[in-house]
Amino acid sequence: MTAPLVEVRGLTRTFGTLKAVDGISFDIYPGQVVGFIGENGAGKTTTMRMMVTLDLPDSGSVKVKGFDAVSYPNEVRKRVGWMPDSYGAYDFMDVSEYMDFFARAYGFTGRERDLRIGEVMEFTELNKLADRPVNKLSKGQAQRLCLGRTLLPDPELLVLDEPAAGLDPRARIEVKNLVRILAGEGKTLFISSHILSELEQMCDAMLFISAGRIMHQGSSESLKMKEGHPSLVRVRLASAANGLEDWISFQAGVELFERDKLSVRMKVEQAGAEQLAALLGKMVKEGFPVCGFEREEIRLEDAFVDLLSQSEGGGS
Amino acid sequence: MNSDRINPIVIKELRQGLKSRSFIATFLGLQGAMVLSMFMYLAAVTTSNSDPQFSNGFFWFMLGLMLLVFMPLRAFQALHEEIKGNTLEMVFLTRMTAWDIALGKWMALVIQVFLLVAAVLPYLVLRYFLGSIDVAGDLRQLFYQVVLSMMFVAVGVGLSAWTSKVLRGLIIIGAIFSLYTIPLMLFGLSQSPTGSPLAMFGWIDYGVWLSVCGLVMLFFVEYGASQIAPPAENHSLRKRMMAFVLSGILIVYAALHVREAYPVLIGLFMLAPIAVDALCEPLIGIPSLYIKARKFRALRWLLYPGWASGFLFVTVLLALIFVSAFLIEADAEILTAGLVTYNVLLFPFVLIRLIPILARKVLASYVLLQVTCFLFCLLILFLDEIRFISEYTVLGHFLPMLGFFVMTVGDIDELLPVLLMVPTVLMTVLTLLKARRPFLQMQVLSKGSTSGD
Repeated sequence: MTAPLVEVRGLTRTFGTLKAVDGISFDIYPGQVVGFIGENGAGKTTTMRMMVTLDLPDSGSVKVKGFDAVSYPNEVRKRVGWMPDSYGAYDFMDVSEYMDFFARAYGFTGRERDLRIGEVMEFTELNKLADRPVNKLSKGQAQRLCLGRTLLPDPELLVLDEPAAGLDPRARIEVKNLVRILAGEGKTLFISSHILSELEQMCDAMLFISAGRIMHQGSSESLKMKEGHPSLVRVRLASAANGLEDWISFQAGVELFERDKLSVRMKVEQAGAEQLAALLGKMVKEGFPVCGFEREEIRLEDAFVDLLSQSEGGGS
Repeated sequence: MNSDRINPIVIKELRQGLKSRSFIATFLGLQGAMVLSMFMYLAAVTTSNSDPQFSNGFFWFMLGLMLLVFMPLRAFQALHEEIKGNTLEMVFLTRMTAWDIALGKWMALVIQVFLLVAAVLPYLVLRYFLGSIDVAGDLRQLFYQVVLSMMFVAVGVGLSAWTSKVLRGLIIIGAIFSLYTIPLMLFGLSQSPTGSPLAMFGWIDYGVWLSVCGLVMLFFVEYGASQIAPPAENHSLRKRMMAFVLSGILIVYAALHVREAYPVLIGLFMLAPIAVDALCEPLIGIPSLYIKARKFRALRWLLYPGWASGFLFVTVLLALIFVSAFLIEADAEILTAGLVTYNVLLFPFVLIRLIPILARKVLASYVLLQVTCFLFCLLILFLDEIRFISEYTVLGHFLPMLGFFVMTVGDIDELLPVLLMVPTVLMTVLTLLKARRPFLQMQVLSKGSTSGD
C-alpha cells in the first residue's frame, strides 16, 4: 500500500484557554483530493498552518513525506504549497515583479525562471494583469495571484485555505475550475471550506471538523450514509389518503417529515433496500394509493448539521 | 553581474525602496541640504570675516542626519512592516531562510546608504575646489559615517522584528535622543583639528575597530533573523559564537597591542545586547535542535537555545572577559566592574524567573526593569547627593546598577569586590535552581526523545 504523504497524529493547539485543535489524527495519500470542512472557528486554518510549518503544535505531530514539520520545517516547506485565505500585498510592486520575486525566492534562475513564471501566469490567467500593482487587485485576482505563487515550485501537496471565500460568483467559478484542473492533473490537494457544495464534487475524501475535533472522515457518501442519519423517503399518492399520518406515527423508526396533498416525506431510520421494500409492502397492504416511492438524496450540509447536532446532543 | 546571484530580498527591497516616498524624501532632502551647504561654504570662503568651519559642520551634520538617523529609522521598519503586513509567512515557505531575509533587508538599505553617499560625492569634490578642505580628513570622516551607518542600519534591522509597543516606544525615544546627539557629535568632530578620533588610529586599531563593527553588524542581522525564524532553527549558536569571537579579538588586541584592559571593557558595551538576548530567549522543546548541537560536546551547554544555557553562556563570557582584563591589568576596579556588570545583567533576569507574571513578555519585562533600575539610581543619587555616595551605597540599596555610578566616584575599596560577591552568589544559586529542570529537559531532548517536555 502507498505510504501516506501526510500523517497527522494527535495534533493539539491551544490559544489561552481555547483548544483550537484537539488531538486530531488523519492521513492524506498521494494524489488524493481531501476536503476539510467545518464551521468558522472549527480549527481548520490552525490545523493547516501547523501542517505547513507556520505554527507549532502543543502536542502531536505532522509528517509530510516522513519529515516532521517541527523538527525539519525546511524539508516540509520544499514539498508543500500554501494558499492562505488572505495575505498581505506588497506596496510598489506589480504582478510580474511579485511573481519574479517569488520565483527567485524558490530558487529558479535565468531562463528556467522566465519559463516557469510564464507557465504559471498563463495557467492562472495573470498575463493580462502583469503590470497591475498587487495591492490594487480585486479579491478574485488576488486569489489567482496567490494560487500562482503557490504553484511556482510545483509542490507535491497543495494546502488551500478557503480558496473561494469572499469571491463573487464568477471569480468563484474561476478558482474552482483551476482547482479542478489541478485535481485532474493528479496533484494532492487539501482544501478547506465551510461551503460543502464547493467541495463535494471534487474531493475523494472529506474531513469534518468541529470545535477542534474530527467528527467524521471518509467520502461525502459515507457521511450521508453514516449510521444514525435518518434517510428521507418521499411517497407519492395517486389520491388523497386519509389516516396516513396516524399510520406513520405507529411505525417504528419512521417519522413524518412533511406532508402535502398528494405526497408525504418521511424520515426513516433503517433505510436499507430490504427495510424500504418492507415498508412499501406494508403501505400497499394497508390500501394507501402509493404511485411513487423513492429515497431522497440527503444533502451534505444536512448530514453535517445532523452530525453536529448529534455530537452536541451527546455532550461531546 | 548575473542577478541570479543576488539575494532576492535585495532585488525586491530595491525595487520597492527606490520607489518609496521615504527614500525619495531622504534623497531630495539631502540634495537640498547639500546645495544649501555649498552656498554657505561659498559665502564663507569669499567673505573674509566668515568662518568656513560652520558650513563644514553643517555639511557633516546633514549627512550624519540622513545616514545615522533617518536610514536606521527606516531599517527599524524593515521586518516590522513585513510582520504587520502579513507578508513574511509567504517568504518563509520559499527556499529563503530567516537569515537570507534579514541579510537581504540590511543589504538593500546599505545599498541605499551608498546611493546617498554617491549623490553627495560631487559636493565633496566641489568643496575641495573651493579650498580650505582637508581631503584626507573628509574621506576619513565619510568612511567613518558610512561604517557607522551600516552598523546602525544593522541594529535597526535587528530590532525591527520587535512587535512589543513598549520596546518599540523605547527605541523611538532613543532615536529621538540620537536625532539630537549623533549629528551634533559629528558636527563637533568635523570641527576638531584631526577630523575624527580615528585620525590617530594605526592600521591595527582600524582593523580591530572594523572587525568589531563587522561583528556587531552580523550579530544584529542574526538577531533579526532569530526573531522571525521558525523555532526549529538554532540561532543562539551563531549569536553566541559571535560573542566569543568578538571577545577574543578584543582580548588579543588589549593584551598584545595596547597592553591595557580598557578595550576589553569597551567590548562589554558591544556584548551587552548579546548577553541580554541570551538571558531572554525562550526555551524550545524541539529534539532536532539538541541532537544537532551534540557535536559541540561540553560547549553545547552554552549554545543550546533558551535562557538556561543563556545564563551559563553569559557567566562564562563575563568570566572570560574579566579574567583576561584582570590578567592584563590587575586592579580591584576591574574585578568590581566585572561583578557589577554580572549583577546588573542578572538582577532583572532573576526577578523575571522568580515572578511568573514578568515571564509572559520576557524581553519587555527585562528592558523595563533595567530602565526602572536606572531611574531609581538617578533618584537615589539625587536624594543622597552625589558627594555622599560611597562604595557601599550599592549594597545598601540593593540596586546593582548603582555600582556603575559608584565606580565613577573614586578609588574602590578592596573590600567591595568581596562584598559584591554576596548578591552575585545569591543570584547565581537562585538561577541554577530555576535552570535545573530546563537542563534536565535539554539532556533528554539531546538523546532524541520527545518525552522531555
